[in-house]
Amino acid sequence: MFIDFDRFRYELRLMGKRVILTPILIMIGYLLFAILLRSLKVDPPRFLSSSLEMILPLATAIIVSMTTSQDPAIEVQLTVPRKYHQTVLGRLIIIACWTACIALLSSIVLFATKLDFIPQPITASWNAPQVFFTGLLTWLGPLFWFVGVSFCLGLLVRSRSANAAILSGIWIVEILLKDYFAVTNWLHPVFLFPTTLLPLAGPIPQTYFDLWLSSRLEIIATGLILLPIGWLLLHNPEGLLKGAGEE
Amino acid sequence: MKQLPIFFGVLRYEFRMQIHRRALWFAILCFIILFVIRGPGAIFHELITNIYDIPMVPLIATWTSQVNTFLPIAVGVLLADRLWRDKRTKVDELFSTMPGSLSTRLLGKYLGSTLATLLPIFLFYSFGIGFIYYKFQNPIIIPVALATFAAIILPGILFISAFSIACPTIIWLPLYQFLFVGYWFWGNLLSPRNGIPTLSNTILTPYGGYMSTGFFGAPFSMAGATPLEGTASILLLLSITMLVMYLLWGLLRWQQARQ
Repeated sequence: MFIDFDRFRYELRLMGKRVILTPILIMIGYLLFAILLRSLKVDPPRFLSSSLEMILPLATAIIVSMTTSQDPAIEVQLTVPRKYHQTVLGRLIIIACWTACIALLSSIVLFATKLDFIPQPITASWNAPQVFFTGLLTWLGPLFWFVGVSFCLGLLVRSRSANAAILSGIWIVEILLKDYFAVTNWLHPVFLFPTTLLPLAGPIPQTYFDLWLSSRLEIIATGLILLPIGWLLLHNPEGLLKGAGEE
Repeated sequence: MKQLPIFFGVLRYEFRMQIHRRALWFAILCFIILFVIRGPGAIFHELITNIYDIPMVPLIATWTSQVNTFLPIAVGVLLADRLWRDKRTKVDELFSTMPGSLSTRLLGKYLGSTLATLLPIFLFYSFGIGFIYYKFQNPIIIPVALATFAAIILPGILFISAFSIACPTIIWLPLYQFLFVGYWFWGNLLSPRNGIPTLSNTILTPYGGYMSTGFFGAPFSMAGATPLEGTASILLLLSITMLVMYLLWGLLRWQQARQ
């Protein structure tokens, strides 16, 4: 087991309340802004969808890059019986799972209040659970992908700021070149935010839905493949020690 | 002791420290690769063939605006850890015992690290200008390119750099970096037509659309902008920059007094 309860408590205390509070504060901020939009007669579902699909994954990735790629006590960490890669993986799981919990809770609230933004094939008549679980794929994909990329990139680049900058660049390029991503087949497996940007919500043609679904699954798979790669990168004590001095 | 030599010493040291960061070059190189994702050379091909079919000066301004669309994100994120790093490595306490005043060190750090971060962007910018030069074969391109860089890119970069140096003293660094990226999209690139209240299309945009169209006639930046609005945008950005640096100085002085 990567993390027992005591360890979990210590890791939470080490990372601080900021890691726990950040996703909550983001969602509260989005909720307040959505209320403002409603008062301005702007429909908020697409805006709220962006919080789950685009904003939370980026914030989580930047936090992951900050907390997993370096440790102020790395020299000590490498001497203790518990392997450092287990500690980092534990941290990664805590951060990703916590964000996923907040996103899941937000999805339930949005679904219950009919503020969801979920695509479904026009030919199918789905029941509520099918629509809800499909909706989870909108943010699960980008979350896994960003966490996986941030984890590996942080260990390769060995600079938290450079890692955050590159993730930000990917994020903004996905937005600016959304039309190019949509019409270019080879970019579909890295088209992270199609639901909000295109937008794809409600009944859509079966072909579009299939493309959307396959790209979600490919993105989740990419994120999952990157985790063991990052795990292997953590087995390089020399690289970890060098990384501590490269900022 | 005179503060001017200290200022230049700090500026030179901060510049060298930032320019020698491999992370700076690597991050901006990644940005440039993302920038040309539509196909290697596609964007430069657009400049040579002038697909926009516009005169030389607006074409230079259009290229400057393209560079300024998202490369400043790298500047903001990479500068955010400069002051934070001093605290983390505890050298800020050491600095306070030295003859250089806080304001001198702060200004030197701000300008030195900003100029160093700008250098790779300027090189990439010059690369595109080279393609425009190849098309028009007119030496006037070089002073015009320097003028567009100074008027469109520089005020916005100074503006965001001031915030990036200052804000992490009160906001958790990753949170600031995340908020900054969100701000760049919301306050510069998000069209007001979406119905979401935004700073885009106001003179308070470091993206520099008012300067691009107002001074140089770039057709795609901010339709109808006048030179007066361009001047107002520069003055507003620089005034806020000075205000932020002044507030940062006051905050750090207050923090020192409390120690």
